Amino acid sequence: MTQSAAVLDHDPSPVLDTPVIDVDVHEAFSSLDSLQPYLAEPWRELMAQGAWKGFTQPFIYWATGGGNRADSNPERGGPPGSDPELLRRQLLDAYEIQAAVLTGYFYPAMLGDMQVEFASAMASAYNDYQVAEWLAADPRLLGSVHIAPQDPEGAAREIDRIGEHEQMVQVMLPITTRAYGDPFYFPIFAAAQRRGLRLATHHTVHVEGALGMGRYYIERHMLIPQGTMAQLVSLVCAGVFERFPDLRVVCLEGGFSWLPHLIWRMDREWRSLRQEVPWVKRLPSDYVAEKVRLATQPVEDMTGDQWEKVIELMGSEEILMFATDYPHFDFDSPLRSLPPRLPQALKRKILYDNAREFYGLEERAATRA
Amino acid sequence: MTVVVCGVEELPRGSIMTVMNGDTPVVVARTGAGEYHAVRGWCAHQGAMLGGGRLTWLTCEDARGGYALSRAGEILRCPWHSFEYDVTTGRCVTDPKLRLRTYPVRVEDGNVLLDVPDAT
Repeated sequence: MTQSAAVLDHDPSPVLDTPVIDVDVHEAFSSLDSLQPYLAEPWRELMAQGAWKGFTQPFIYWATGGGNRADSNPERGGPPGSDPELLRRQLLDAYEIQAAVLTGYFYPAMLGDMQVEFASAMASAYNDYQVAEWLAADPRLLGSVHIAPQDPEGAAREIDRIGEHEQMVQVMLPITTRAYGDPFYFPIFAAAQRRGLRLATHHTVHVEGALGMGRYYIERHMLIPQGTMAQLVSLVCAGVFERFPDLRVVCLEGGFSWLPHLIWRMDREWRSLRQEVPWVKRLPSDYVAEKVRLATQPVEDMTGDQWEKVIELMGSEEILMFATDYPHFDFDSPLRSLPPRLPQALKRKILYDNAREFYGLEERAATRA
Repeated sequence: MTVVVCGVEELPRGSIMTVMNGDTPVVVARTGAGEYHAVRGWCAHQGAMLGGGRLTWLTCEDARGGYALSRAGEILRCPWHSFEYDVTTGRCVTDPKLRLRTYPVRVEDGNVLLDVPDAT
């Protein structure tokens, strides 16, 4: 079957036959002013003076709706993803989503090395905003602790401060141009482990391919998985999964069909060069199988047979977790992004079971009851 | 079945309007040249409602290797992944195997009329 035929191979009126957990949903604030009530001084006054105008993107978007779905603009105004009611309607209710993990897109990691206290203060304000205006709005929403990783001690304090909120499930590790295996970041991992939180990597607009951003946006978008692969290699080779044995990581929006190549290569290199990294005590593929999950979005338009082959080569049906990336333009529909002929049990693992296990949602529900 | 879509003045050149035929959306488009076309309003890729997309042009390469624009108002771009459809044929620009059903459209007495199968 050709790739195109696979895309066409849809039931004209698909129905959801498994429950869904969405592990990558980008809520947004209406404007930076939304953070003001949650911002500590002296930052609140400085921001009120317009002392910082927010992040800018170093490229122009070519998709129909810019970086977002063109049909996701709230009627009340504000950017896509900023209206909890619309998010509920277009995502949670439309696809009967059981749980959705908020991942934001305001990443203080993008501030770089200067003024790390400001970056950490913005992360704290964002977390309090997220708790008050999103997690409180719908019990199906789960939260991510945002941090300024360039300030590891501040990040650890923030994880300890907000990480116990019952809807917080993970710590965001935005991918910029740094590799997180550097021991500089270990206080973050210690805090996440202490609080029983997962880690989630996600690219930022700063992520680059091996030869830079590329000349075009399409190029850069094709290169994003390189950042994810580089972080995974860094975490494995630094022994992070040995040093912090309870840590588990989900790589969001970085692709997944490359994983067979990466685990084979890592295993082969480890057999040859393990002497250099004695803290890596097991085959890298073992760590991946046990500790690492990959989100599906953006899916490549593969046939059902191709999906099954890739998963077989990964060596586990438990690695993939479904994500929509709402409201971004490369949104994956829970109804249409997986081929209809994927075996039902496998489809259910991807759409639901794997995320439920990864985030311990059953145990969380039992604890709350 | 013939459906009155709107008055011609309500559909300016380069714009689209969605009509529901039962549960099936139909996107009626008026091209930059003023022609009317209609296609089924679900993207053949992941099923987005195409009425939330944009009617736009085709980008081409000019003699200097830069951008040239052609076929204004003939290309319907999906609101999600931005797949491009030629509204005059229903064909996806990047994949001829992806195709939207087309419907006849005509103008009578100042109204845009659409012929669609009877909704079930």
